[in-house]
Amino acid sequence: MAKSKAVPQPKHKAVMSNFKPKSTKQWIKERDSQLKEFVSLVDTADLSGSKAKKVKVKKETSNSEESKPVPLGLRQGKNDKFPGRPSVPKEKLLKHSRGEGLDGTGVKVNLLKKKLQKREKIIEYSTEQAARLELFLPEDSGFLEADDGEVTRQFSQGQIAASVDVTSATKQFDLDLQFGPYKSNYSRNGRFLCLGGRKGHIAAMDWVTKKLLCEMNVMEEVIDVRWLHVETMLAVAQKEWVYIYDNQGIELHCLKQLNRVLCMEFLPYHFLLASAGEQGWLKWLDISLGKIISQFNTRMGRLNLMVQNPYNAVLCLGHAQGTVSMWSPNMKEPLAKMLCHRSPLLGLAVDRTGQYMVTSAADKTVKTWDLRMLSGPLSEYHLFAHANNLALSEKGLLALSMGNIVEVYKDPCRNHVDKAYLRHKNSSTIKSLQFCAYEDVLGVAHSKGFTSVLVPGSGEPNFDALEANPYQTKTQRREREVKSLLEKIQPELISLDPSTITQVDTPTLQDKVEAKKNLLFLKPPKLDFEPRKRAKWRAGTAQVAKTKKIIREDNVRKFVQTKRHLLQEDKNKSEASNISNNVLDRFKSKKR
Amino acid sequence: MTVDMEDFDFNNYSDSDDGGDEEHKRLLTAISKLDKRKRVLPSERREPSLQVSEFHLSKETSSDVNAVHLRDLAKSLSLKASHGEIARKLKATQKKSKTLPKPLEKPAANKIRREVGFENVKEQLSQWDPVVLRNRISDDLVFPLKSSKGTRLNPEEFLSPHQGATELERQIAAVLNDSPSVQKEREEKEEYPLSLEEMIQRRKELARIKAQESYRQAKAHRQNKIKSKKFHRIARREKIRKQIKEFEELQQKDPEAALERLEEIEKERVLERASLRHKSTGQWAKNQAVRAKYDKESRQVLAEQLKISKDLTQKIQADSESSDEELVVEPESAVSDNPWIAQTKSEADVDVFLSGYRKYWNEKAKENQKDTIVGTNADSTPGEKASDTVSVLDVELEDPKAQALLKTAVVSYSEIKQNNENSFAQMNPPDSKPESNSPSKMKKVKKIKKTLMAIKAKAGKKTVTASCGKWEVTPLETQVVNVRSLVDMFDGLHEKITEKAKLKISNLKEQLIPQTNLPRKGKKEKRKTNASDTSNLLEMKRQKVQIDLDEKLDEGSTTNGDFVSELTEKIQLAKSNLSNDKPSTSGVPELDPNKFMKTGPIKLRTALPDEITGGDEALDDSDHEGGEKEKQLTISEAFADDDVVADFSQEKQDAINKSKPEDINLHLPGWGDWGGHNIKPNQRKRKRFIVEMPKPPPRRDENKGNLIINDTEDSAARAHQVSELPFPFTSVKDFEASVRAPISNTFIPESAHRKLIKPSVRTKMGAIISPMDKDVLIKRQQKKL
Repeated sequence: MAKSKAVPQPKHKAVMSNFKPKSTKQWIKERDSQLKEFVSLVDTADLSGSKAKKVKVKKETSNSEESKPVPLGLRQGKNDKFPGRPSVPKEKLLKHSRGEGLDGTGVKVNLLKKKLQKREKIIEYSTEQAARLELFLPEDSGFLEADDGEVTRQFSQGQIAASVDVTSATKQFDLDLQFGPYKSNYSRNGRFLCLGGRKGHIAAMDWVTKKLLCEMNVMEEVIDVRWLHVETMLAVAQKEWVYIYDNQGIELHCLKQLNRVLCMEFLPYHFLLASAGEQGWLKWLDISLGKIISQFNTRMGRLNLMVQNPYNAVLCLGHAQGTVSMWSPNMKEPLAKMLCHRSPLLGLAVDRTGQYMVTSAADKTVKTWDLRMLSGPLSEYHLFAHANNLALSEKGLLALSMGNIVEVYKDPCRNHVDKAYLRHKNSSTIKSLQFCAYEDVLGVAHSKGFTSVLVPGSGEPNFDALEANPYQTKTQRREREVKSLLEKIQPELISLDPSTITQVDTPTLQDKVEAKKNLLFLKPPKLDFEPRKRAKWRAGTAQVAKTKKIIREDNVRKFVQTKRHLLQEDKNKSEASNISNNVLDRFKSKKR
Repeated sequence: MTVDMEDFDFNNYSDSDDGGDEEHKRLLTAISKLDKRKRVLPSERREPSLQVSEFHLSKETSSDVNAVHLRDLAKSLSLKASHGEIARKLKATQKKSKTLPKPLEKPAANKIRREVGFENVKEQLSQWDPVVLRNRISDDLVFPLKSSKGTRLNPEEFLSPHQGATELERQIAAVLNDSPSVQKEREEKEEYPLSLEEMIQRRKELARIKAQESYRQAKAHRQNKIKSKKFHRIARREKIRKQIKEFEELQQKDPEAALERLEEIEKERVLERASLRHKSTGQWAKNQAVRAKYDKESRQVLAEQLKISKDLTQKIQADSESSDEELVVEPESAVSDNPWIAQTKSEADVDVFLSGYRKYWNEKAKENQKDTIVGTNADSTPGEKASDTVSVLDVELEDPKAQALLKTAVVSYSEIKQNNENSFAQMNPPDSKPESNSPSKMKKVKKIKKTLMAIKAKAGKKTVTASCGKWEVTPLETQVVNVRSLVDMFDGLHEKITEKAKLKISNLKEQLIPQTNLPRKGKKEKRKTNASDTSNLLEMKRQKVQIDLDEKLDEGSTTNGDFVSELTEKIQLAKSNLSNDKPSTSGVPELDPNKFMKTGPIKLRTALPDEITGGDEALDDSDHEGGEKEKQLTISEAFADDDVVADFSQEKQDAINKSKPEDINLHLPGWGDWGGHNIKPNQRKRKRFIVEMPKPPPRRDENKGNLIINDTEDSAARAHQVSELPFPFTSVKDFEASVRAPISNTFIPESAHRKLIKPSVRTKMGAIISPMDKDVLIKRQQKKL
């Protein structure tokens, strides 16, 4: 089960706010109304326990110095002395809802029922509180705004960088490297970047400060790079095996079990490094134990397209048959298989909530899919060229690369888009795309290096520091590592529905079939019967033998009868269930 | 016992029967002598002695005669008046005293004792039940339970200075008490007029009221949901009865309130008039109307329905002369404001409904026509009705000008009809019964006839205008003819009318605005006419619905349901024809097509990579032609594998087959039957040996062609699942609901997390936890508000 977090993340960070500042008057008005709401809510919100305290808040907004105390008059109406808590909007409550509650009809003892109902109230409180604490997410994502007669996609990176603040402008850079084509990977908190050049170049850096952690050439083909749970460890798929390096560039491990790997994924909550190989081998390595959890051949040929579904930690593989298959380490068959295109898949991306999947194929189409219902396509886009790489950002922006061109589309899953939001033309062919977490940045690795592209509005502006903290210190990192190890989720829980663990295990069809088969071949138990002692003249051996025989036969008959009865019952039941199953049965004539 | 009877002379005994007692005594002694045992004789007291043997106290029935009884002793009491008191007491004691019942057997008595004891103890213990339950349910118990608030100090007392220590202090205190600042402070304290308990009490009270209200609402809701018509009918009747009763009571008690109530009723009436209820416009009524032709019952029902509406819309107060003016003014304004108010159906409409038969109806309609013309003429002032009569008269006169006038009038009527569909109903006076037939009013009718005749004569010479004065009414027979010719003429005219209507409809909106202003004029006029002409002809009963004094509206007073309805129909048709041409702007809410997902693929005008353009900047522009580029098929597209779909569906079919459990065939050929070549095994027998496996539940991917979901159970996760419902749960749903929410602070806010993990029992270190005492049972006194 992957962690699905619907908890407020009361952490602040301003990522490039609107490019066009509003007029001061309007701004002040807005701020006042916000403050009003804030004060009224904060009065009631529970601050003592909120996570806000633990978080190192880094604010780049300029209004921090102006947050003067608000006069008390604002808090209350004139007549109403104690207006009470303002109610939470329904949508917000629904967002944090944990589903339908306990109704108490299925609880035996009144006392315990009352206790459970009390608990139910606390759960309600927790959802309400979570909705209330959303207030502590004050940051909005920015966006590009075009003037009349302009379109956003005409802005070049240079223009954008020129119009944003200095810090943001530094996030747009270009690395010209010679050992390409390159693959890149951002760490989970979005702070670190590793690059792997096909010709053996490996580099890890803090890309925000541009501080290089290590750089080396492994003198071997480098196929894929991937950060592990912390920025001190780096998995590199090289020509034969997968290696793990630390941030100094020291080789920690050589994983010979993972050989001929084409792509890798790291499942952070399970501590699993998943790899897909050339001959169709799929392997999961538990990096906390150093043990292969599961490995099998998918029998689907070369696997060069793999992404994880962050919602349930299921791996999605793209195939040349135009299918996408989903895998968990617990089953050697795919959990699900979707026919998405009629031609080989080129790109695959899953959004971070696990709701949407985007696929691109050689027929120059891009399709979006509903991944929870496993249905679709929600929409289909025809392009002028193949989209070789796809990436979905935290805010739902889709980046696709065609040759040396990157185009970004705004929320193509929920809406239909017909125009690109941003377009960037690169110097060379693009090999991988990834949006940086909590930043408005798209990392483009190409054959001649790496380019960091500014995409306003792509990143999640509010981060949860307990989850992934871009500003974490060394001690925080260590603490986080220990905690996440303690909270590690077992690989057995990976399945399409991550809430399986909360469900009661009911007997399946297989169990029923098994039970029935067992019933068929069940033999009557042997009866060790000894007739009681009788008078001497009655206790002749013939008589005793006769009695024994009668009793035994009776036993067998009874057994067979009950067995038949059971079988019959089963049959009746299955018939009854069949009757209720079909919707169209209502049109059948009633025979009885 | 062996009795020797030798010396007893029986004969002697039998002979001396007369001897009486002595003989008998002798006999007894003789018999007693026969007995050898000694009998204990009753003791006799001869002289007083100190020692009384207990054996002498034997009870002797025989000595009863001589025994001294209490009553004998008490006899003397009655002799003296002074002993009366004692005698009474004695009697009382004798009355009261009862003999005690025999004591129960010991085990039975013990049993009863135990039972009673059990009951008592049970009752005693049950006093603790609520306390125990509260503590068990409580999710936060702190031991020791009893907090040491025995010596609770009133903070004010505690903080106040020691009273009356010295004289000086007392004086200072007095001065301070009187000081304005202290007074002010006290006043401020008064801000909280209620103590905590009182506030709690009040809150409870409010909650109780609220709860009761909600119960009431729930009850009402429930009752509303009941589908039984009978129930609702009875309920409604009861309600009405109750209201009437209440109203009557109110009339006696509080006339002012009753008046208000009356106003309310009036308002209800107005609302009823405004609504479509009981107007036979609903589906039910339409159905009934269809049936009415053949079904007497439905006819009755409809009539009843209309009667209800009539009753409901009838004014309670009988209109008097004094209220004439108000009556004239009010409906007009209402009409101008609200077209629905005029929805009330006239008697003519009722007739339309009731008479199923066309023939009969036609006749009736003509009669109606006749009557109503007379009726309206008799009823209304000449100024009001001028143009009505003109329209009637014109037909007679066949004056071309008059005809032209008629045409315009009809056309304008049609306009009005469209503006206000109900103007027709409004025109029809609800009480347009042939009242003129009544002998008392014949005179007036004759007068009208006379005036009409005069008009006829005049009209032959010149065009009749709306303002012409005195008219004569033609005899009834001629009028019938007139009406017929009128109908014919309308038939001929309606084509032209529809054409004109088309033209006019375009101007409707423009006309709407002046029309809203028109009624004002009408009002004034009407007032004037009322003032001047009330004396003539207005002694007839006032009509309820007043006719608007609008020139155009006057056409409606032709009042024959037949052709008016035809007219309206045709105009409606024309209108609909017109509206078909134009796109309607109102009514249906506009739907934004962009809000819905498009199903087809969307072509994106993407930029082209250098691979295709060859680094050519010109091609790279977003203006390039997509069609050309699309022609450049790549190899993979050219060899696009069409079998992909077929392969996939094959794969899916395999997966489905694999997941199906197979039936087990236990049939052994040759067992219990002949086996070998050319012998067909009995199908029935073979069937008996096939064990059917349960059918699989419908697959999740059943209706999704492009999807295969693996239905085989994932056994790895099952090890972590709960396989049996834990104790208090009896339903899976409730159990799953109880574990659905996380409690860790990783997922939920800290405050909620703390609430969830709070220990249910806490003990204070070092404190003595003593058992509960009975103080807990005492309900704390609360102030009553």
